[in-house]
Amino acid sequence: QKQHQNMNSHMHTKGIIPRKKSKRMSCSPPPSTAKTLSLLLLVTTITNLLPSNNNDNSKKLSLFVKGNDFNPYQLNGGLVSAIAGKNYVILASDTRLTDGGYEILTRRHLASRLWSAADFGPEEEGEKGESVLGGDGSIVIPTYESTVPSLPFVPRANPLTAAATTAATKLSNVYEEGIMVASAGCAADCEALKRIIRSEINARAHWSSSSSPFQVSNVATLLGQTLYSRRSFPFYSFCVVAGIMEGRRGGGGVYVYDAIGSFERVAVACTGVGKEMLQPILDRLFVSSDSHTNKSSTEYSTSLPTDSPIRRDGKALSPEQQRVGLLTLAPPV
Amino acid sequence: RKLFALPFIARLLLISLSSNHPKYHSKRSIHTVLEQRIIISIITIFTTPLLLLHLIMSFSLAAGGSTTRASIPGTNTANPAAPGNQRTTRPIVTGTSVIGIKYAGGVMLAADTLASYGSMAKYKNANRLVSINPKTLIGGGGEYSDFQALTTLLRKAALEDRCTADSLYEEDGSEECAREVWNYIRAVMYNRRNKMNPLWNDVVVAGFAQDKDGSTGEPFLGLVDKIGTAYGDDVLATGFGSYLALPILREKYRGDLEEGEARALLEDCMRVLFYRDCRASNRIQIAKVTKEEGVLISDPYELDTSWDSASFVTPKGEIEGDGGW
Repeated sequence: QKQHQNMNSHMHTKGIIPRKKSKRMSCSPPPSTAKTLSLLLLVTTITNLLPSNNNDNSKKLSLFVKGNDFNPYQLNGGLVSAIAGKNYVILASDTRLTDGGYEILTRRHLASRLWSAADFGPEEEGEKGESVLGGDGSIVIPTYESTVPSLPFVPRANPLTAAATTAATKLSNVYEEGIMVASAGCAADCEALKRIIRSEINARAHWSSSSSPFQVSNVATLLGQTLYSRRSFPFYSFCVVAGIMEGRRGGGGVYVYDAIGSFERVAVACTGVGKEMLQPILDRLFVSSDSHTNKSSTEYSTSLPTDSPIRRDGKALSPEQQRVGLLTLAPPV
Repeated sequence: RKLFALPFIARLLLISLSSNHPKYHSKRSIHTVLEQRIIISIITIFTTPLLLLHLIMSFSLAAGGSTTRASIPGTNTANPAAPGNQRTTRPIVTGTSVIGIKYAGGVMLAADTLASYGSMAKYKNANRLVSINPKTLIGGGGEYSDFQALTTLLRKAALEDRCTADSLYEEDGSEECAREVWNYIRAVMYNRRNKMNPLWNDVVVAGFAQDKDGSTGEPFLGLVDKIGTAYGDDVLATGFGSYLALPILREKYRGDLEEGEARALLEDCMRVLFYRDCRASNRIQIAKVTKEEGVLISDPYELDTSWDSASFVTPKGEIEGDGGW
């Protein structure tokens, strides 16, 4: 109606025939109702876009959520370690999977414990001519002798006893290139982490035009970032990464992680269940290859005065040597 | 929710831009109502699939609820029954152990047919061994409704595989092998666990793994638990079976077991479980997967039990006893 009045006022003042737009104007809503409608819509969209208010007071996150019977974590055990040599690295892990309590779920779990960071180059052949890396990057412990043509499967007698498992762990796989990761802790998180890392690196290797797209330091950073990205709901996964470093320094590179992504390059590393027992042994057995820190002659450290009642182990690695990185094997005491 | 707002914002902008009051006239305004309507409809056509996808995804089994509702794990624990916050906190109707063993011809699973309602033996004819496709068998312990939902999801995927295969008649290669099903279940369980809304199940997967050239390979036996831990072995058991049956299975296992031997071993373990697991029954099912015949699930039958063992007749826990088991 207001519009119509304006129209009439226009007509009276200008004395012209009404414009053709008057027909279209009667179709569109008058500006007052358009304004209220738009205001209403604006309010509803803004309230929809605001984050929902939780009624709960506590927003604390913890590893074990109180009041909920469901625990998303299970500590499946595992001890992993790695050492860096002059032109090699060695990774080792156990293969026991526990339920966090007294139960052994399986004695031969390697799928999420020790894996290759990507599918590098042609597959290495194992002793029996089979690929020792499974399709998902984990080491495969062959349980069946596939060389006998008569029967389809000729398995070893009772591979579940302890004797058989120690025989299986004598399997050693030597690769010329590659970056391996060993992770312990919650096996579900370790498996998820493995898939994330492997898909990232495989995708990058696939699409990259350079010949060596990934180095150990790159994988190390990627893993650290991935772990930190879940800082609010962590991957309960303690990792070590090992590979041959590129560049002038060369040699073996070993990195050790905690569950939320802090990492450093070290000479010897272990993490997982029992790391407190293994780390001193690693520190003691391996000495640095730097000549000025040759400590093979002294049983006890000479940095302390001779009449001091404190005896420090002379052959143990100091923290500075850990950071420098390259070791040679010394015969055990 | 943000996607819901898009059509509204679009309309809002268009109405404000194109109001035909003389005061708002500008050279760039959209003059015709037809053009306005075309633009609004284009925007809604593009955003509606996104909205529908968001709706469908948030209701799917694998997604396990909308991420906006369950964004921070641990909130609303004081009031889990709050409207809009649906999460599994404890299982209600449960199945007990499933046990599995590899033998010379394939893989064999055993489970009883009881679904308990707490301490009540409510559903005595529940099938806990299910075939997904003619080559893969799964068995589930834990919450029975979650197991049924998981079975429906897997069967839907298997049907889709069959219908979209290159040939309706050729069987090899189009069906998911047991290892693929195991990996898929792991992904579903882990995804649900990340949303703190798990499928409360321990699932055993039995079948064969496929070789790289597509032919049926070695026997496969794998387990996935409710947080997505996935592992495989020659003998497996869930629930109470992992405490009572696994030691027996590990002791008696040989790589070249015959079918009869494997079945007898599984029946012995189910009998022990019936004696000592108070949520178990003696009405069991055995299922096997072989290369030639695929999945075969037996009808339920009852095990013979003997209660005149000395430890049952004169329990040691009594005053005169030595206090042992």
